[in-house]
Amino acid sequence: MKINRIKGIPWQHLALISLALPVQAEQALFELQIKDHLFHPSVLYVPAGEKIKLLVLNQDPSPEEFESFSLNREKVILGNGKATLFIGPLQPGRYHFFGEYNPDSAQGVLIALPEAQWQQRRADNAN
Amino acid sequence: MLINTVLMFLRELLPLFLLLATLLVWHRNHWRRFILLFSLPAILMLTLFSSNMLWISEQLDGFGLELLYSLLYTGCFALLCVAAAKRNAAMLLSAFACACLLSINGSNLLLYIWLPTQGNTDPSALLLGMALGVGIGSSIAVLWYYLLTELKQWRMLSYRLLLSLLGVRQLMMASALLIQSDWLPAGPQLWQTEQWLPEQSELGFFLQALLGYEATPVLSQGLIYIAGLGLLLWCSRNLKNNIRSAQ
Repeated sequence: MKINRIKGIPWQHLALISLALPVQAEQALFELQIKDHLFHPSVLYVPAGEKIKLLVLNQDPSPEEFESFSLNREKVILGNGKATLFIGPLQPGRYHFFGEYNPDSAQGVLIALPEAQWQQRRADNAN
Repeated sequence: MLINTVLMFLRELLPLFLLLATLLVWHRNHWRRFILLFSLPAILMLTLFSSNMLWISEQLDGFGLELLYSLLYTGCFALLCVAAAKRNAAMLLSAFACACLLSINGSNLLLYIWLPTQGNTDPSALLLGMALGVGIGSSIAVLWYYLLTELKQWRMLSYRLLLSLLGVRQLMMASALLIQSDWLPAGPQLWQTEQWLPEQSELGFFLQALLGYEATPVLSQGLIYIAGLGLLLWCSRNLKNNIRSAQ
């Protein structure tokens, strides 16, 4: 059996350990707020092809659950609390999300832009 | 409010009801003992988690709740594996597996019911929604129970497979929570079936509760699913004898 050892540890074990450890890379941070059971902004632009960190701030006294089928994400955010979740890397496209406790009002869409469009958008916002 | 409550209850309770019905088919001759063994730790864990929800959610950089839930989902899967392999403690272990699942889904429901948001809503709509959600969920579970009773009698392999799928579904849920907390690398997306079978459709909803259906799974989830399914099928290879001896 082929064993590529680092200090006596078989590579299979290293692979398992690497799966179990948190990933340390830095991700771009995006912020989303919940107020009066509405998401602000309701349309959030992010770059496609890279993992992002999404900070959700709940300014309502009641809890909310961030839910998205297309993003495979669900996260409970307690009243006046905040929560972080990691998303992507995403294909360019639209990803719908909603608040599961108030789905009639708390609706939003995350739009993943291709590199060129994302850079263009950043340049437009900077001007 | 009414429809939202029905959907919320159904979504949280259906996976638990399906697992309970499946395990009751296994332990049908001692079902009272099974319910007792399931209820006590479930109530204990539910009380513990619900009363410390805020503290738990603030731990580990704000990922405390996800990591606790993923631990409970993994625990549920592991308990089912051992229960299927070990004849002696099968009932106790499978009851604990159900208790793990109830503590997750029950905590989410208690949060939905009790926290201040519900103060300005119509309590009758909430109660009716709860009753409808529980009613629909338990009706599906009863049908599932009778289907499995027949299957167990004539096709033991089908029962084993369905039990394994229900077990590996818990592992799938754990992996999704670990990925969103960045504790598990996701890897590339394997496929996209959202156009054909959306997760929010009735069938997608049922398949999600039964076998952890994801419209857009990623590589690590696929690997975990295959490994988990293989492990549970292997652990349950003598399930027929175990069930026979239990009866």
